[in-house]
Amino acid sequence: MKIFIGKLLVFLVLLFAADYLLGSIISDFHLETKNINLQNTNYGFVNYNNDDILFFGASEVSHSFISNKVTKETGLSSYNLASDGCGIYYQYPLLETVLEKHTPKVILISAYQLTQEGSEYLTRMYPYYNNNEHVKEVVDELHPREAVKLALQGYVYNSQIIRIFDGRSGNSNGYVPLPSISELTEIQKSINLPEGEVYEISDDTKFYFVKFLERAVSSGATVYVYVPPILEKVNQPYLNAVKSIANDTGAKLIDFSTDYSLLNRKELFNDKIHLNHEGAEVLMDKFIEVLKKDGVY
Amino acid sequence: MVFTSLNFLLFFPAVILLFYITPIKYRWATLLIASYFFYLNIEPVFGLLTAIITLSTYFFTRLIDKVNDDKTKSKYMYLNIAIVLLPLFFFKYFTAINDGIFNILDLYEIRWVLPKITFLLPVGISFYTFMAIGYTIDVYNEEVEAEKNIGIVALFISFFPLILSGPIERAKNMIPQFKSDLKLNPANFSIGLKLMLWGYFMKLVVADRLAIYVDAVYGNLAHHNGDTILFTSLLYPIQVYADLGGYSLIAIGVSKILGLDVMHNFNRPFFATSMAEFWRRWHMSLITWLTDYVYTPLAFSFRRYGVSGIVLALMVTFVLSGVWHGATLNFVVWGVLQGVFLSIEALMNKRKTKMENRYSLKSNFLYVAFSIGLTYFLFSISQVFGRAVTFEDSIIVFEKVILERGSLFLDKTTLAYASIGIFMLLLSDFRDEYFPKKMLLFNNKHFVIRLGSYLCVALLILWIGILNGGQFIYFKF
Repeated sequence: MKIFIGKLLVFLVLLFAADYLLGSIISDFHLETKNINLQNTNYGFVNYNNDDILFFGASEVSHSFISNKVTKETGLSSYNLASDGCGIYYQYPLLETVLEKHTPKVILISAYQLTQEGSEYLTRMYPYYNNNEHVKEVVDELHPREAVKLALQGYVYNSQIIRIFDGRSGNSNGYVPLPSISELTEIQKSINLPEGEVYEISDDTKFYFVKFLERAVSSGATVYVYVPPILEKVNQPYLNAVKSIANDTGAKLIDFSTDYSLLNRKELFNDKIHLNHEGAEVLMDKFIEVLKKDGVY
Repeated sequence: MVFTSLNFLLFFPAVILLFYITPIKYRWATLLIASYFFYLNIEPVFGLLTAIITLSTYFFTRLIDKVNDDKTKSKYMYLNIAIVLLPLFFFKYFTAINDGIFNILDLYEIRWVLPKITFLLPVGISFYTFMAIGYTIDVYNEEVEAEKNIGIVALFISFFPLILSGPIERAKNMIPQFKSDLKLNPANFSIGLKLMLWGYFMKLVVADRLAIYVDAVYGNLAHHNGDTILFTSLLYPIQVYADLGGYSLIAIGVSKILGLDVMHNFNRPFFATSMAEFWRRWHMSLITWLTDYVYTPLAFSFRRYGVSGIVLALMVTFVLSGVWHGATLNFVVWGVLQGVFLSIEALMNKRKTKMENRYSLKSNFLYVAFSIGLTYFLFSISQVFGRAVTFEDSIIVFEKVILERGSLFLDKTTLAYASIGIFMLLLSDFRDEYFPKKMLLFNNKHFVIRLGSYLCVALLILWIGILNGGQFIYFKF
């Protein structure tokens, strides 16, 4: 039995050593990745540097807010920190991290952060867990037992290896354009917008959404809650909840959910939720108008 | 508590420690306490069911053992089977029957005043029910003696590695082992840990990764074309194999560490060259159970009908197997399809064997490869009814596969990770099937090679396994 236990210990020591060594190597590649989504995450959590306008949200923001266009038109530097599929538990530590370095003039967050279910996307933040107290705080609160697994370097980068070495890069300050589609979908072809989904708002997402807005407003930035244009009828109780939260926290609402100058031009959409690049250009013209009207530049 | 949870990784070493410090004579009691703790941890009320099934089985098997009259013996056997089956029928089929009544009443526009009730299915109920029934029949057939120690019967029915998804063990294998001097030894530890490691690899790297792709397609059938659905349907059997096969290996490994030998559940099923052979290699504990307690008695009863009797016995056995999987039309069709495939093979068997011998086809690589491919394809077709949520969905699958062409939906990251796991799994099975003593890794005589292969597999689990707790497919049965 002693020999067996000895061999088992050798195995465990080697496993931890190999895990640590490979994890350290991958860590370097992760920080220098050319993958545009990971670049955004790295930028926000590690490399952020003095931008005037920041966009937070998931895919409805990452594919719609053309940072370079905003910078060109307003003269203010901007970065699209949005990341596909990432909800409010990602956005809040990201905000806290950037505010530690610099207070931007404008912070925009998508209203859909209020409704995003699940927390699987937290794994995107695991590479920063050991060095970022805000990430640690949220992960520990939502998944207390992850701390044990996160002692392993392999687990920190679990399922991210292909993404790290994926060479998609862009010089678009976080904006990821979507192409126009060759054929309209059934929803796009239909004359009337379909009934909207009934969005549930959980206490947890509401808590962090409000916390995000309060923190953003208290930093002194102008804070916008953005309701995106989507090819469906707006869900009124959800919209009322968004308005109420924005009002209570002192954030401004930019509501495109009933902007028919966008909704009636279905060729501007890549699918039901996402604008294509042409749509993003139109949206940016409208957003820049809002900034001008509010005296941001 | 599931095998892939952090809780289990704390629970199991604690059990080993308790097992080690308990005097050998009472180690079965430690296992019984651990088993009930394991099961109650899922849902405390489920423990009542195992307790009731244990009491009834213990009571009636003792009665069967005591009486000499065959009729009375048979009465006790059927009575216990009915009692043991009652919870299974209630929990598994109540909702289906209830819905069926509602649907029939709806047809005649009759409104039923009672509300629709849905019960949570106790995890593993099918597995321990089958074990209890098997034990009762074995006592009736005098293949095993009725156990006098109720604790041992309770342990047989609730043994924690097997309670959730099998393998469906037999009393004649397990009870003597529970009563023997259970000892921890390094050889068993080593074998058990290797089985567990490969089981975790199958589950976390292969099954749970494939589940992401398969669920994305089958969850949105309307949005995917026929080619994508066909590709997904061909992947699904690998997911099920890695899921239940992985679970089974972990269960067998855990048992082995505790000094108990449990039957294997899979024997490289994707290298079967016919459906009959496939079913001798797939979910073997269920199939041998069905063969012993359903098919063989039926075939014996129908023996006067010759080949037709065999076909009838096959059909009934597989339809029952389908209904065991779920009380839906989908699973009935699944069972019928298996029955049809096997019946056709049984009817053609003589001619096929003659032809194979005449042209020496069994040693012909192309013929063997074709037979393996055809068997896999037939099983994949039948599994559509196992994966689609409703019968209507199954029909949509076949309509789209036949009529709708288009480019494949490729979730490149998911498929790339899954490919690594599938390749390693099938390569390992290929080696075991055709070159069982060559290219050994886990069992290589050199320690360094063994150690290197354990490290590679463990690192792959950490790096590309799905470690956030996917459920095992067979828990729902």
